[in-house]
Amino acid sequence: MNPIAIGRLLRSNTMGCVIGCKLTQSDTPSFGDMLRIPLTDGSQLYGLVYDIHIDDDGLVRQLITAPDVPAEIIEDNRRNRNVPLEMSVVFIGWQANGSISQTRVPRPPLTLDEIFPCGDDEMLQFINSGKFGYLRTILRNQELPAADLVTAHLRQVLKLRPSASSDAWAQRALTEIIALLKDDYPQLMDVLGAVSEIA
Amino acid sequence: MPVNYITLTSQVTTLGENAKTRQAEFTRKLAQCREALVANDQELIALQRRVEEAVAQNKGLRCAVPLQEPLSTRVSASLPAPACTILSADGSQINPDPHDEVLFGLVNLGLFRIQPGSGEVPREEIITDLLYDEQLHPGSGLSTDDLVALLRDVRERQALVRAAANETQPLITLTDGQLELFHQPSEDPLAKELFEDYLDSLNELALAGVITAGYVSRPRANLVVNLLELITPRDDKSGEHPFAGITDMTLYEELLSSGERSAIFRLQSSSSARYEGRKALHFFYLNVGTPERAAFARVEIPLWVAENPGAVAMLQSVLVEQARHSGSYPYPYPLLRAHEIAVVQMPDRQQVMIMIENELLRRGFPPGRKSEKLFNKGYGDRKRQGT
Repeated sequence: MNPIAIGRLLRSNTMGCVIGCKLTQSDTPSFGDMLRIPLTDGSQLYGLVYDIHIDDDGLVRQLITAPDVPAEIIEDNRRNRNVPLEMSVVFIGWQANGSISQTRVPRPPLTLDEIFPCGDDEMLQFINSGKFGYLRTILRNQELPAADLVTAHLRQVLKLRPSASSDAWAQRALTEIIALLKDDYPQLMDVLGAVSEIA
Repeated sequence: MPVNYITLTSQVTTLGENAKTRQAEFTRKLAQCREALVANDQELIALQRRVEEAVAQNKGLRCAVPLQEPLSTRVSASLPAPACTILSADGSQINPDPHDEVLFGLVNLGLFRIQPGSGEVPREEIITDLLYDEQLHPGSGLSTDDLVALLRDVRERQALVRAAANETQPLITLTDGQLELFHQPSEDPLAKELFEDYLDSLNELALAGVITAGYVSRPRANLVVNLLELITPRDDKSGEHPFAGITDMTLYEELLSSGERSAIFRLQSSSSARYEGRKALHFFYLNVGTPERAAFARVEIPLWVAENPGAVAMLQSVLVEQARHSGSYPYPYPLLRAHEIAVVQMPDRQQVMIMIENELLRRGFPPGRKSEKLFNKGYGDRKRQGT
């Protein structure tokens, strides 16, 4: 079965992109989910969702002042009107000719490129294909909610196959995080505090 | 400097000084007008006769004609509104500009369908027609702007007829503005032809029993006031209209509470005879607002709706209910959405122009040029750069 695209690209650069999808989409990704963007040359880019937002407009602001909003008007605004759900994605690596790199992507995707969620196997393939280079990308970017994003990512990876091997992977990831943040004590405490929330 | 603020200041001061005097005069006239309304509340036959006499003297008279309901009638809306389908249409246009690179016009219609209470997703449709060549120079005496506006109004009504054919009753069709076409029919042959098309569309809606209405938000008309002036003596010295400056909306502001409609009147105007038989134009005033915030509209309906009390009651309930869905500025939601779908903005205009230019270039035509006037006026946004 062909995977179903969750949205299309609105804007991008080599750091990340913003994608748009319909408000009603039931399979809308969550914060921290891993996505992939296939490019026309056969390569593909990987990224993590770090922000999801829904813009308002004049009509929506007007409608919320009504005492109650009927179901058909809610559906009209969600399905017909041009108010997409926007997701910001940070790129964490790319794949070309069968090999995966956890470094900055060589070129950004183009307007209206399709975006797909990563399956379990794709996630495992990605995280096992490098030395946590993408954690540096996340932790060094001041614009990202790094502690929460890393925590969400670790939680998803650990959910994939709870086993001794994934525990060992998480241990190696934490060691890498500590090494990357050894000179940034407040950030390190933020990340470790957030990671400690993982049951 | 765009405005001479030195001379403007004194003019604004004078305006403020006059406001108080004007307000006192307005209040006096409004009170007299209300007295006339109350005094003639039940004098419907006498008022009808007075209008007939006045029309004999002045064919262009524009006023309300009372029918069976007293002038101060108030009818509450029954809420929630009964189940129905609503189709609304609105149009916008690009008027041809001879100063632009290429000459074209465009009519854009927004059609919106909603079934209140169904929970169903409403449907929207955009119908776009490009106007060019002979369509802009039909050899008629109409200015192109009037022609495009007339085309827009006629096509709005035709779009509603087409959409209504697929619907079941009860069905309400709404448009923004008057049912009566502005300045029509004129003597121009093309305008006459388009006017006949418009009447044909109304005939089809009548045959299908569709509840049809035009919604005029915050009306400035003085149709009922003009009626009352017919029975009020004029000032012999000045010859001034006794209720000049008073509008129907101000007259009904204190009368109609939230959700209430006025009496139904027939419209007397220079063109009303052309809306024959069941198409005869009627109207009522309606307060679609809340107890906290009134919002008035004049609702124009044809005879086939006006003579059906059930249809009028349904239309009133639907308009009040749909207007309340729009929140703090009550206005029927289906009309709001039809407008939003239809409206053509400046970037759309630029995009259409680029499409046409590219097509012509592809076929070997030289690039068009803006007129010298338009090109040089483009410098209007000059700003000081840097220090």
